[in-house]
Order: sequence, then structure tokens, then C-alpha cells
Amino acid sequence: MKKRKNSRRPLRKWSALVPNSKGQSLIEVMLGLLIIIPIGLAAVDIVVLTQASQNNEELAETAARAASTKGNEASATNAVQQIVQRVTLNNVVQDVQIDDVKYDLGKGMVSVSLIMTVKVPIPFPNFNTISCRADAIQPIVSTPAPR
Amino acid sequence: MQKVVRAKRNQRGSAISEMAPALFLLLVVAVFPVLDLIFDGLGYCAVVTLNNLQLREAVRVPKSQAIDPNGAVQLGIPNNWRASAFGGLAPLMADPVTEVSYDVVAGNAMLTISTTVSVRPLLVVPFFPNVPGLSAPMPFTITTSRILENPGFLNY
Repeated sequence: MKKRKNSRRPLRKWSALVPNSKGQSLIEVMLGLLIIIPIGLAAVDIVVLTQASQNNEELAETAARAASTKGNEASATNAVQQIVQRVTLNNVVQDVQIDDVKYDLGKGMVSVSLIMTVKVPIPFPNFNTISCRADAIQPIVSTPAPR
Repeated sequence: MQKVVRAKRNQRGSAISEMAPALFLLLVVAVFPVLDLIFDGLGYCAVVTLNNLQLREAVRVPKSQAIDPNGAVQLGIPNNWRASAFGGLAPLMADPVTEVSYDVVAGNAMLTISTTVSVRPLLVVPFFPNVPGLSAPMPFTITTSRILENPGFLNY
């Protein structure tokens, strides 16, 4: 009996020395999610920003096209304003402003710059509202081309 | 010592017995929905391409041709698009519905074209019922506007 007691003691000591690894997977999963979830959310923001930027480019192109049919800078600016007013604002596209309209009869070109304010669906610190700028140039078609 | 070791349960088979439910959950909850979402995105891009092709054609033809249900804008381009590889990425439930409208903005004739399609999900996940893109068709309506190349096309 005495010998048997001594034979069990080393086993207990050995099992006590083995580290408990039951919580390791949980910690790994939590840390992994902390990294993966923000990356996924940022991807959603980037998709929305890309789409809004592309829409702004098309809008600037249309506005420049409308301005190119006008005879002077005032009417060209008015045409751009009417195009911009057609934009339907929503939770993402907060605002569209005319940054610049240049009607250059000497070069025969009209250039339009628009700034679209985009609110990302998943805001991050210092990454809540983004301004997308789009420039478009069109040849003036209301007057004969310069020689 | 030997008795203690024999009394402990052999856990060597636990991994393989856990693999079946884990694989099921992984496929149904993660892989299939992600595949569906990827193909939903591809379908959206394909529909945007179709709408852009229709818009580019519609702004350079007379109004009578653009609003013709059997014309190039509303029938020819969608048929060619569906036959292409890119159009094949968007398995449709029905033919695309195209609406063409005109208005005058700042003295310019403006064309607006809307393309509505319903894209079938690649893999139907039955555990999420009636979720568009996963177990139900995903409807897309793309609307774009552009100024007519020739303002006179508005009248004929």
C-alpha cells in the first residue's frame, strides 16, 4: 500500500505542470474577429465610396456636356446648377456642390468641377464624411471652333 | 498506473466526428452565403454594364427607335448581353425590363433609362428563407441619365 501511494504522486505533479489550453482557441477567435470584422466593414465603406465617386464623375461629365451647349459663362453655370439640382440626395450622398465652372472661349473648352459629400455607411474615427471631387472637360459646341 | 491510463477515454476519433457538423456549418453559414454575395456583386456589375450599353445606344438614336420594344435599345442589346460571358454571370429570372424617358434640362434634351432585372442566387441557402440574394431573387434597378447627342432626336 505504501508503495502504491508513492507511485501516484508523480502523476499528479506531472498533470499539474501541464498548462491548461482550453481558453486558447477562444482568445484566438476573439483576436481574429477583432481584425477581420473591421476589415470587412472597411470594405463596405470602400465599395460605397467607389460607387459614389463614379457617380460624381458621370454627373460632372453630364454637367460639362450641358454647359458646352451654352453661349457664355453665366448660362453655362446655370446649366450646371440645373443638372446638379436633379441629383437625389440620400443617406450616402449628402450634398453636391459646384466647385468651379470655367468657360474658355479662347480654348473652346468648358471645364466643370463638382464636389460630392459622401457619408460612409459604417463610420470609423476620422473617416465619417468624405468629399469626392470630379472634373470634366467638354468642347464648346455652341460657337464655331477656334482656328 | 496502467489502470488509470485505461480508464481515460481515447479522444483520437473526436476530430473526425466533429468534422461533419463543423463542415456543414462552415458550408451553409459561411461558404455558400459568401459565394452568393460574390455572385450578387458580379450580377450587379453585369446589370450596370447592360444599362450603360443601352444608355450609350439610346442617346445616339431617335426617340422612336429608343422607345421601340423591339428595337436595339430594348431588345437587341439585352439579347446580346445575355448571350455574352459577362451577361451569363447574372442568371436572370426573366427578361430585363427597360424604361426610357425624356425631359428637357437647361435647354438640353435629357434621356433617362432604367433597367430592372431580377438575378437568381447562385446557390439557394434554404436556412435563410426569403432573403434576396441568398434564397430569393435579388432585384436590381439601375437608372442613368445622359444628354442626347442630337437634340433633334427628341422630336422624331
